[in-house]
Amino acid sequence: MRKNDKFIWLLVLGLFCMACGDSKVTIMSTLDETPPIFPDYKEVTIPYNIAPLNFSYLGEENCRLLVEGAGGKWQIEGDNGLFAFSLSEWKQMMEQNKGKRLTLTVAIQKSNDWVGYRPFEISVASQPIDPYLSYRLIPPGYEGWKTMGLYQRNLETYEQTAIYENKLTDGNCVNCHSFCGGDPGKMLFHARAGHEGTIMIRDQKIEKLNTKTDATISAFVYPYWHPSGRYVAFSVNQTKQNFFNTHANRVEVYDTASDVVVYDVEEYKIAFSPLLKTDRSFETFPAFSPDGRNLYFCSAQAVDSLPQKSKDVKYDLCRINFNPDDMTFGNHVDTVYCASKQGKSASFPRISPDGRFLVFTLHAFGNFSIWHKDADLYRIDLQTNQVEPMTEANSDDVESYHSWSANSRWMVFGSRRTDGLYTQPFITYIDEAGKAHKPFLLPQKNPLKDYRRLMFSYNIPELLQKKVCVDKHALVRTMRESKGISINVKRLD
Amino acid sequence: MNTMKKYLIECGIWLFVFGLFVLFLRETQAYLLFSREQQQLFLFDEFYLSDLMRQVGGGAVVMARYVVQFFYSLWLGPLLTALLLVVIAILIMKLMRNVGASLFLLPISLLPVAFLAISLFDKFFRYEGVTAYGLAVFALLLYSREYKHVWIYRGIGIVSTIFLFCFAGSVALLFSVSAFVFDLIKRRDSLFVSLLYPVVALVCGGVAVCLGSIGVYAPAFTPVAYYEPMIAMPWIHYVAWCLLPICEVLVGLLNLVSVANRWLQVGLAMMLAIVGSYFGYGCAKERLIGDTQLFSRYEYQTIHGQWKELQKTAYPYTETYQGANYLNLSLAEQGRLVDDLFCFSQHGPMSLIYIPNDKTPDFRLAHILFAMGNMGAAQNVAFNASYGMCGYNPTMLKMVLQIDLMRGAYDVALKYIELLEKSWHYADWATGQRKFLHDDRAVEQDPILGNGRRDFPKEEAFVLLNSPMDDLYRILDTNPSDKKSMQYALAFLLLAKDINSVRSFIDRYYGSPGLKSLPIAAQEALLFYSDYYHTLTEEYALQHGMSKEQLIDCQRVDLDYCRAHGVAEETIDRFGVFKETYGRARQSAEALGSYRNTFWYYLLFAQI
Repeated sequence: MRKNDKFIWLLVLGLFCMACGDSKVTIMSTLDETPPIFPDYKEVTIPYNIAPLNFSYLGEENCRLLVEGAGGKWQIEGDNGLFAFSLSEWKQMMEQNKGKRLTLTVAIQKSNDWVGYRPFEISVASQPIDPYLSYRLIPPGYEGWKTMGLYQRNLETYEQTAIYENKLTDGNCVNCHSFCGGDPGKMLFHARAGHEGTIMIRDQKIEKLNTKTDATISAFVYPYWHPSGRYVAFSVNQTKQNFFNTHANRVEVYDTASDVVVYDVEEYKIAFSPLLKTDRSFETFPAFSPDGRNLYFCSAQAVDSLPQKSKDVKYDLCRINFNPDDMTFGNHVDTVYCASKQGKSASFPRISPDGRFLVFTLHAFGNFSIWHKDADLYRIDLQTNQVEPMTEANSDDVESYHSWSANSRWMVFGSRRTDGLYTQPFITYIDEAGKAHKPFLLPQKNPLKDYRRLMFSYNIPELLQKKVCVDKHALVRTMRESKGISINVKRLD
Repeated sequence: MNTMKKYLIECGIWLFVFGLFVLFLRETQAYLLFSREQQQLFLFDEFYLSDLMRQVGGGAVVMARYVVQFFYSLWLGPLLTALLLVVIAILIMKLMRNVGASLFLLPISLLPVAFLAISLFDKFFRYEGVTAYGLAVFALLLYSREYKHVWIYRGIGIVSTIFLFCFAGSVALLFSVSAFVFDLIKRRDSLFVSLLYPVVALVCGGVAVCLGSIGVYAPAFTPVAYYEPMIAMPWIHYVAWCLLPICEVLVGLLNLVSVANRWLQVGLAMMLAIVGSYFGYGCAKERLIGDTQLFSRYEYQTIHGQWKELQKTAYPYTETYQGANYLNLSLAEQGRLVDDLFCFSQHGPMSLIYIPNDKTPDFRLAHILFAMGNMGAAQNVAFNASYGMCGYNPTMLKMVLQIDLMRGAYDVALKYIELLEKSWHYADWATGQRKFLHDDRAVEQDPILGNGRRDFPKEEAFVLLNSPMDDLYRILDTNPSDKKSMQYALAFLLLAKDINSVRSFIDRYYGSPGLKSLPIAAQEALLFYSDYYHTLTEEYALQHGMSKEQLIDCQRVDLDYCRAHGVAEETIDRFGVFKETYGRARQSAEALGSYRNTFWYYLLFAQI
C-alpha cells in the first residue's frame, strides 16, 4: 500500500471513529423548570418490559437526553427534538433498573454551552405488563367511517398488526371485541352494517351467531367473558345518539332501553334474571367477578323523553350472584355504589383479576363516558368498600374504558387529554394499595408525529397475554358466507 | 414516405386524438373529475404512502391519487386524464404493432381506452382502474418485444405478473392472459409455458385471499378491485379488460387481410372503434352518468362560491330537493333568499333543507347547515362526509377544522391543519389557519369564524332533534346579527305557510341587526296575517279553538303595526289589488298568474 493510500485510510478511519465516538456533553448550568416534552413521561411508572419510551423535546434548540440509573449513564442525541432509544440499549437499561428509578435530564444547547432542565424520574416497576394490547381504531365520530379495524400492538416493541380490518368485508362496522381474561384464544366481536352477527372464536373455531331473540330487545352489545370461558355476559341495548349544539361533549350516546343476559357458548343459549331485565330500569355494562360467582352491572332508573332528559339518567353499580354450575342468578341485586345519590353516573365496572379492586368510570350522567369530558376513573376497594378517585390517572378531559393486566398491577385506559377528541391509550401502574401512579401514553417510535398524524381513536383497549393468531380468510368466509347460528333462550324453572 | 414524415404524421394523429379526448372529457366529465378530487386527499407523507403501498395494488393507487389531486381545476382533470389515456393508447398501439399490425390499425388501439374513459363516468369506478390498466399495458409492451433469449421474456412474463399483482392488483391476470394471447398469435413456441402466467396470477390472488389481504376472490382477479365495495359493478367495466386480448386477436385476424387492402384495414378498424365507442357511450349515458355530473357541478360551484352559476344550474331542478336546496343555498349566500324565495318553485321547508333519514355522507347538507349557522350539526355531517371514497374529503375536512377553530378546540384543529399541510393544493390554506390557533381574538375578528363562534347557542340542546327551526331560533337568540341564519329562519316559516310564527318572528327579531328591513315576502305574509285575523269573526275563532284574548292579540297586527314593522306602502297597495283580483278570479290559480312570485300565491296554491 502506498503511503498516500495509508494516510487516506487512516483519515477515513479517524473521521469514522469521530462520527461514532462518544461525544458526551457536560451540563454547564441548570434551569429551574422541567422540559416541555411530548408525551409527558415525567415521573411516570413503567413496566420493565415496555417498548422504549421515545419522546420529543418541544423546544427548538439542539438537545440531548442524559439518562442515569443503575448500570451506568447514557446520552442520546435529539434528532429534531426526538429522543429515540435503541431497543437493545433500552432493554438492557430496563433489566438493570427493574424496581429502581431512572433519572432523565434534557439538556439544550445555548450558545456553546449545554444547559440542563430540571431532571425528572421514571420508575421502572418490577412487575411486567401483559405483552399485547388490542384495540379498535375508528374515527372519533359520530356516525361515519370508511376504514376501521381491530388491531394488536406488541407492547415490548412498536409492532402493530391487524387482527381484522373491515376492508375485507366491504367496509362494515366491527366492534366490541372482547377476550376471556386476556386469552387471545377466546375472543368475540360484533359485525354491523353488513355481514351482521357476533363472531365467536374459541381455539381457532370460528362461529357467527345471530343473537337477536324474541325475548331480547336487540342483538348482543357490550360483552364480558366469564372467567371459565363458558359464558359471556352481554347487554342488549336500544342505543341512539344525538349531537349537542354547543356542549363541549359534542355527542350524547344513550339507551332508551337495555337489559343484561348471559350467553352459554357451548349450548348457544341465553339466560337472564328478571332482575336484570326490567322495564323500570336500564341495565348495561355487565362484568363478572374473577371468581365468576358475581355479575356486576350498571343500572339506572328508566327515563322517558330521551334525549331531552338524558341528564336525568344516572347509573349505579350493582351486583347479582351468578351460579356458573347451572347458569342461575341470585334473587336479589346489591347496589355496590349508588352513584345517583351523588348526582353522578357510573359505567364500565372492571374488577382486578386478584379480586381486590373494582375500577369504574364516573361522570355526570348517562353511560357513554367516552363523550363525557368530566368522566374520571374511580376505584372501589372491595375489601373495605371505600370509593376513591384515581386522581393520578385522571385529567381534565375524558378517562374511560379501562382494562386490567393479568397481574392486577397495570391498567390501560382511554383518555382524550392530549387533544380533547382523539382517544389515546394510557397505562397506569396500580400499586398494592390500589393507588394509581401517573400514567404514560402508549409508546411509539416517534410519538409526536405518530399521534398527530393518526386520525383514529383507540377504542376499547384490552390487554392480552399473547398475540392473537386468527385465520383471517376463515374469518372472512364465516362473516360473509355463514348464515349464522341462532341462539335460544334457556327456560328457567 | 420517409421515417420523419411518418413520425410527424403519427405525432399529429396522437395530438389530434389527445385534443379530442380533452374536449370530450371537458365537456362530459370535468365536474366528475373534480368530484374525484374531492373524494381523496393525497398526502406527501411517508406514513400515508407506506400504508397505501402495503396494500395489494397500492402502487396503482398511489399513482392514481397523485394524479387526481390536480383535478381541482376543471381543465387539469380532463387534460391529465386525456394525457394518461393517450399514453395508454400509444402503448396499446405499440403493442399491436408488435402483434403485427401496421400503423393503419391505430384506431383499434383506441377502443380499450375509449371504454376506460367510459368507465370513468361511473363515480364508483376508481381512478386506479386506469393507472393499473396502463401499468399492465406497459408490462405487456415490454413482454412483447423481441428478445435474443427465450428466458428473458419468460422472466419478464413471470416477474411482471407477480410485480403487477403486488403493485397494481388484479390487472396481473389481465396482463397474464394478454401475454398468453400474444404468444398464441406471435410466438407459439411452448405455449403451455405461457399458460404459466395466468397460473401465477391465480396463485398470487389465491394467496392474497388466503392470507386475508383481500377479502374475496373477485377483487383479486377482476376489475372489481377498482370499484367501490358494497356496490355491484356494472358489466361495462369489464369491457376495457376484455378488449385488450380481443384487440390482439382482432389485429391478428386483420393482418390476414392483404397489405393491398390497407384501406380496408383502416375502414374496419375505424368502424370497430367508432361503433364500439358509440355503443359504450350509449351504455354509459344510460347506466352510469345519471345525475352524477349534475351533483358534481353543484359541488364544484358550492365549493368555489359560484353562487350565481349555482343558481342557474339548480334552477331547472327545483322539483327535486337537491336542486331546490342548492338553489336556495345560492340565494342565501347572495343575501337574497327571502327576497327571491318565491321567484322559484318551492315545495315547503324541505326545499330549504332536506334531511335524509340515513347516515349517508351528505356534502349538501353540511353546507346548508353551515350557512344556517347550525355549527354543531354541520360539524357532525361534515365529519361523516369527510370520509370520502378514497380518503379524506378536503372540503369537508376544512369545514370540520373551521368549526373546531370556532369551538376553540385548537389542539384538534392543529391536527387537521397538519394533515392538510401535507397536501399540495390545500397546504397554503391550512397554514393560513395557524394564525387562529389559541388566539380567540383572531377567531372572533374573522368574518366566518367569528360569526360561526357567535352562532353557537347559549341555550344547550340537541341539534336537528325535531325541526331545524328549533335550532335556528336558538342560534338567532344568541346571534341575531347573523343575516344568513335570519334569512333561513324566515324562509323556513314562510315555506311552512306558518303565518302565526312569521308574525311572532317579526315581533321578536324585526329591527335586530340581522333584520333591519323586512323582505317583501315577509311583508306579504304579515299583511295576509293582518287581513286574515281582521276578517275572522269572534264566533268562528272561538269555534276553532282560539280564545278571545288570542284573537285580540292577533288583531293587534293592523296596518299601522305593519307599517311600523317594515311593510311598505307599495306592498299594502299591491295587497289591496291582489285581494280584489282574488275575489274576481274566484280562487283560480291561473287567473292569479301575475302573483306567482308572491307569498300570497304560494300560500294559496303551492302544494307542500
